[in-house]
Amino acid sequence: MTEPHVQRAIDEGMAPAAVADLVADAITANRFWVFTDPHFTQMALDRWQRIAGGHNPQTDVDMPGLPPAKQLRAEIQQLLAGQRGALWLPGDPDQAVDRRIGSRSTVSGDVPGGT
Amino acid sequence: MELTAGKVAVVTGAASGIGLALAERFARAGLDVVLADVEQPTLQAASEKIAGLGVKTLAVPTDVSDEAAVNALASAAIDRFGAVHVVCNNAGVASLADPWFGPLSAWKWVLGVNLWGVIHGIRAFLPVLATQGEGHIVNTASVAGLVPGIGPSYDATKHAVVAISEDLYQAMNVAMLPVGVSVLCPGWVRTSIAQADRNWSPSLGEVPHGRRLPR
Repeated sequence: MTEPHVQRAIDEGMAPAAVADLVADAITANRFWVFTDPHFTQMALDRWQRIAGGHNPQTDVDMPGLPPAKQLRAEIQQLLAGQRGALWLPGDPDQAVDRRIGSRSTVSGDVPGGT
Repeated sequence: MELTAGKVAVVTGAASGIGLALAERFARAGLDVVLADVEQPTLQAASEKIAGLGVKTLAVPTDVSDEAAVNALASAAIDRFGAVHVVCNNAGVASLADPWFGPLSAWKWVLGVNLWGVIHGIRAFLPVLATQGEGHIVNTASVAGLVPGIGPSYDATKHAVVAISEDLYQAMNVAMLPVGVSVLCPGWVRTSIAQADRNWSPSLGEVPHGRRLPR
């Protein structure tokens, strides 16, 4: 479900050679941190502000390069509904049924990682 | 540390992606390069490509999750070149298996490569760098080392790599050892990490199938 989105983000990502240039510069300058995308560092700042404030983890956070988190959530919930809650389908369909029954409290209630 | 001809760089995960780009960047600066990767045919091709830039190369098939293999990599590098100046603990994988209902083997694989690979790399090469009086270690983490969201096993290993790198940086400064440390936290990069299953370790059993949720 999310894999095509991730693949597109990767395909549209930074060229490895550009990353290597940043690493070489960091070695020469004896610089510890090597970042490639300021949007993610801003996400880290926002996360730590919530941590410092004692707030619960924020859900539905948009990640740079991916569709809006709410869209991803809807897609995942649609997928789970279509599979009646099976998060992982092993080769044996009966085993999948057992797994769904065994984890019913999770699959019928919450989406893991969501709210 | 200046990147100049005559120095030696070791790069794990060097057959493709960021690792291959690092190897090429170092070669263009004149460094000889030791390329390590578990993906052997691709590794050989990468080594030949880098050698085509006019530097010496050594390709060492290496499973970085295996301590003995990484120690052997360090020995091979020293035997071939007599010194190592830059070490990039770069090899990394990501699993598509469901982290909570899928097989534990997917966790073991990701932790083995992404976390233990970095630990083994530091421990194998640090004595070399410290005693020769010059060196730099680069650990490849990710933005997932700063913000969770890619997947729990991947996020956990990358957070750990950031923490280990900071600890190593502090230790080198306290001990006044001449070893620089950097941690790479890239965002999206055009690599084949989404197809990392191609390098699944058979020792962990069958490749787990399924899908993982992003958060």
